[in-house]
Amino acid sequence: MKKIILLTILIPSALYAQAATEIIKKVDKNQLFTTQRFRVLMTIQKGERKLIKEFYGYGMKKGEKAFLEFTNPEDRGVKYLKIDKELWIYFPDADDIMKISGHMLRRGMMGSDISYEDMLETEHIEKKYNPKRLKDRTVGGKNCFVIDLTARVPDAIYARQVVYIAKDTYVPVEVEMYARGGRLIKKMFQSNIQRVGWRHIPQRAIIQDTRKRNSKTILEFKEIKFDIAIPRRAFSKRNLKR
Amino acid sequence: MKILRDVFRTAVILICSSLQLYADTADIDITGALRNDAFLTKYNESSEYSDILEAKIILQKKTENWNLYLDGRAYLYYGYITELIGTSDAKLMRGFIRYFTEMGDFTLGKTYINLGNPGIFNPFELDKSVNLTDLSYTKEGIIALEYALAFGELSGIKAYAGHDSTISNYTTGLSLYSNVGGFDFGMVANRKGPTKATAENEDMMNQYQTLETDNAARNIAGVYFKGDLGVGMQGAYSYHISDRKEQFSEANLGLDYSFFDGHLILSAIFYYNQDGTDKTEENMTIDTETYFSAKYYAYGNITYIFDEFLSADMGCFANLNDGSTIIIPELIVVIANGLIMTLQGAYVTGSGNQEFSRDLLGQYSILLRVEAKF
Repeated sequence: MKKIILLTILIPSALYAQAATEIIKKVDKNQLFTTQRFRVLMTIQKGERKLIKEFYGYGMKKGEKAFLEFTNPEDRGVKYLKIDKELWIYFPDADDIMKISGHMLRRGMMGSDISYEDMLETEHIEKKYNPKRLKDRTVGGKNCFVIDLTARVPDAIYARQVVYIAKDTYVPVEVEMYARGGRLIKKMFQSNIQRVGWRHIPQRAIIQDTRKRNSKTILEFKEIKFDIAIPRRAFSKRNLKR
Repeated sequence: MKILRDVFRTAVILICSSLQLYADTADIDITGALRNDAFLTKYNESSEYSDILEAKIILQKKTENWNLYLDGRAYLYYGYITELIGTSDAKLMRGFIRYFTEMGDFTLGKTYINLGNPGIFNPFELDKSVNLTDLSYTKEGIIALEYALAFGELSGIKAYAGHDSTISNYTTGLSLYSNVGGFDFGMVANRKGPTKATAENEDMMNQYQTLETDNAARNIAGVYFKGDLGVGMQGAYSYHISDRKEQFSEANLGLDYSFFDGHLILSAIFYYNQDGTDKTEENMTIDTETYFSAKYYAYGNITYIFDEFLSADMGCFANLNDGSTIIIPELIVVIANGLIMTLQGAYVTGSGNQEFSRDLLGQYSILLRVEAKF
């Protein structure tokens, strides 16, 4: 009798867990790429004050590579190269390349609420987190799956994330990021979802660091392309000086 | 003085406007900045006020195969500093063409050469002058031809031959760099030709009796690395061989770490120059070939980034031979897009003939910097 009761509890639970994995696989499939190119307008806002940055970049899944170049007048020519967990910055004034220590990847990129790790992450969610499905919810008028992600590798950016995934597009419309102590540290809201090829891609993201008052960073994708040809030399120190 | 300043400002605006008109038709990028440093230094008996207004214009043209980069500066000085420097100055910091080929990249012109880790206490840096109010201030390039060939994403060689106009000699060097296990590392060889006396530097060379001792070819060979094992670490070692001086070593070792997702950053770097002096009365910073003149130094920095608009840091140079230090706290406020204000203090602990002595540098100083980037 005990066995039967245990099975009735475990079977739906296992099916539910499987569903969570399937959902995350679909999220990964939608948002990950072989290569991508993008142009972004980044607005860093605190109260009424705003800083506006613009950059373009490209990324490659194989080797976890990313390249960014800022084009707004104040930061024009500042470039970033990320290969796996390593980051280099090129400063045009100095015409020199500086390697950034790994611990600095958690720092806000150009003073924003989005860290270098957040921006340049190209890894599958599935590889780094254990998913658990929670009760579905409606967020911003969209029916959403709610997935609780718990880090399963020490180098995961966040200890835990709760992701609200739109059922029709498999795009996370809201993400809560938690630190190891369980404290909510960031929130992300994604909207203006558009079809790019077979993918559904949010054109606008708002990131809030909950530790800062009246602060948010808005990312607006002006251009995004996937699985395009990228020159062989794109992810190299040499390209930082071009 | 006010008229001169108005003329200067008007000239900068006119030059910018005309350059912008030209740039629009020639597809040239123009960026720049206007920066004003107002600083007050308090001595035992008196105070000195100085002001530096700097206009920076950068012109860039980028094509598939070549880049043009020009960085010009104009300075207007006011107050006590005019007794040391004059009332105005203009210089071309950098001006080069970089040509990209399958056989490597060639840079020709006035360019900055660094064969090691960028930053303070780099034994391979050609210009070791220190701007204590801004450690990342652009250094003037040298006339050189540089060649860079990449072997892969993170490996390659760099070679250059140049002429150092400040001491009228030639320099040439080679660096082989790569990345293994998350660490950048490189091997460097550099040669500086004999110093030649010129009308500009003869007095200085005689004054510091450098003609007999330093007027010889100098060769430098060494290695450097930078990476992290949880804690960021960097180091460099170089060996100097000169015809007329004793051979000596120069080295650094640095560590850095951050807390609270990069909001609090701690860094420290230790420096050893075997050629440095132990005697405090000889401690003087006089040329671009040495950072400072003692054997042992440490530099520490604590930075706290409150948010994207406000950060504070405190840097400290310590002469470990005579125990004197200079402590530089700083508050940086981003007022608006491209408009930054910095309030900086400097406090020295030494006295008498010590390097960071309040008798020489003043008891303290306060700097207000306003910079507008466009």
